[in-house]
Amino acid sequence: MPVTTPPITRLPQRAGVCFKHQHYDGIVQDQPDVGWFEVHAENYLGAGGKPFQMLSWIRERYALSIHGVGLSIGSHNGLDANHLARVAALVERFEPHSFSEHLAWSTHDNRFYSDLLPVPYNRETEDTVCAHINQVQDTLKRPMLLENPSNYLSLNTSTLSEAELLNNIVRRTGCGLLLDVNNVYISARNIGYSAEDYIRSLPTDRIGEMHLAGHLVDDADPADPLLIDTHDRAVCDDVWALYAFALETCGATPTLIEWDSNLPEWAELAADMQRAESLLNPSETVRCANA
Amino acid sequence: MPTLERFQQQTSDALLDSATACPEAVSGDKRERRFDVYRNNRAVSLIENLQALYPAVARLVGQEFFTAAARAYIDAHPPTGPVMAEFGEAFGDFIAALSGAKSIPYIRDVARIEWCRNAAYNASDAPVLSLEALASVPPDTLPELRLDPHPALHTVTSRWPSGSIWAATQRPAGTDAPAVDMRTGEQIAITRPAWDADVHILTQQSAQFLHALTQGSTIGDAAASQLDLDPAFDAGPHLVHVLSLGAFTAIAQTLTADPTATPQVSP
Amino acid sequence: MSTKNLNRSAIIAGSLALAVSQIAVIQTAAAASKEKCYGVSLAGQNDCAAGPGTTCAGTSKVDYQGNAWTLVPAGDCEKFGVAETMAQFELPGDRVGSLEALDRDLPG
Repeated sequence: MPVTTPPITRLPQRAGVCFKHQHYDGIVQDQPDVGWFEVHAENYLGAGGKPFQMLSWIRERYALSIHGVGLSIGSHNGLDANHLARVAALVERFEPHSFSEHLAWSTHDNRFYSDLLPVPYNRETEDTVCAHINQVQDTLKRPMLLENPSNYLSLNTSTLSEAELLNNIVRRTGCGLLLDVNNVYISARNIGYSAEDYIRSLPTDRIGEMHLAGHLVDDADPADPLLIDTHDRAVCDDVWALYAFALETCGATPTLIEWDSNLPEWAELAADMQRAESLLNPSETVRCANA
Repeated sequence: MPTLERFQQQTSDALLDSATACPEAVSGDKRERRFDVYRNNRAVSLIENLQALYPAVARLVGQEFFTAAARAYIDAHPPTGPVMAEFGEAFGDFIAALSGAKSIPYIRDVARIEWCRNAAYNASDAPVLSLEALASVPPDTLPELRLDPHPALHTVTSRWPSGSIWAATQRPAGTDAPAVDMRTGEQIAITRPAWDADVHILTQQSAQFLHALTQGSTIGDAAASQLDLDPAFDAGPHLVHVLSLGAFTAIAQTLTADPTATPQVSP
Repeated sequence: MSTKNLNRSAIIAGSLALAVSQIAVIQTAAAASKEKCYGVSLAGQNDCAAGPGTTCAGTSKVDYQGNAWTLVPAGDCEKFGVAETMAQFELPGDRVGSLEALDRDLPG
């Protein structure tokens, strides 16, 4: 008997952008043609005020993705039940079209380290992450998407590849994946593997969202150039090429332009969004041109 | 083999103390350089959050001092959760305790104003009690009324002119600082009549009157306390003033001011 | 209730009633001069910025190991000077205590 699984995302097959408060007045004035907006859950956990008012305005007019950056799904300590409850209340209030989090940890012993920290790829991590994703999905009453990290180092306690681990997690929890194409590019270069092989070895039918962003090449040590996932500039040509490959491999997928610091004028952000839209929906570029 | 717990403990130790070596599980001959990415991400993101929360403090102390103080603060008081609007409350106390800050004793109260603006900005939504609502009450019942404070209302009492100094940091770059009498203390109220947090400097009388009202005094009792201190105290304009700032959300439902007239006292 | 208290209550009631009866006039005046009404708010400068926020990105900036204990503030505060003796007199003792507690964080 066929079992109906809930869709991993309800986002439209379009390009979206991160919503930043600096752009709010312009968005209200122009109501631009944007496929959807994404926000970080942890920026909307206050009691009330302008953040909620702005997000309500956005939600009434656009599709919305809520992207968690602080659940610390890879944490040995277990999830912070209080924080999860706050995120659940936010998800209940705004009913986003997607909820996503990271394959990473950021909290240990009640201290928050304000970064997405790496986990070893092995059975212990797999069990821990699966238990936490099940807890998140049970609490939010919906499937979530898990994002691949930017890797700056590798751990000698890893016994699986990242793609193997993600396949196992998706199979065991029913979650979807958020494929951050820029993160794949960064990790492949920093660690030394093929980005294309990595994408091909993912469960490509379970990818509910993609991310694109700019990164920095840190060549302070010429013998060890390092790519840093800065989200502070336009998407580079190599990542655009990898994105085209990802679309070819995985099919059309809602795609976000992430830009978190050194924020540009709206027009520059919109230009990257329209470029993604033209790759994502090549037959509908007329709509993009009018956006 | 190190477990996940061991790795996360070693990572935590190495993030909080740059003299501690990176976790033993990190591979490669450039392992410390690679791990430094995380040390740096953590430090810079938390420092930038303090910078966003305390722009007036940063302008007052200068960027070099601010960054150094913030760098020390994030190690001494690391955040306990991922909501950045809730991180940094003790920064004013911390910076005021630095030996370099002896010449700026008002910095703690300026930081307090900024923290209260952040709290007001994120406070729960509630209507603002309007002057019209007060005008619609029979005038002879006014002294018996109690007022419910708006959730965004915060007050700061400073022995320095901290409100004026904060206001001076709001002026455009390159313009002259206004003259401030450094011997004057100030009473500051932060309110959120619409979506943005406003800062107001109150007279001492208005501040004390407001304080009594927020503590649950009737308007009449709050006025009587001030009249005891100053026989010329004129309550009406003070009431209209604090109300016009958006300090209250409603007229309290319990109208009985005289405890002897309250029938439902628990035995 | 004494005559004095009665008088006081009457003064308060009269003051409140008068002020409230003039609210319409006050509001018109306040609307005409909002900046003055809002005290220290300077036009266009008092909007709350987005404030602190999260990130899921790394950074290109590099933090340096500054020593907050040897630096001297060098910003706008130079325009708001407090005599050293006055400042020290005003600092409560508990702040000195927390200064000592910070020594463990000194590099080296």
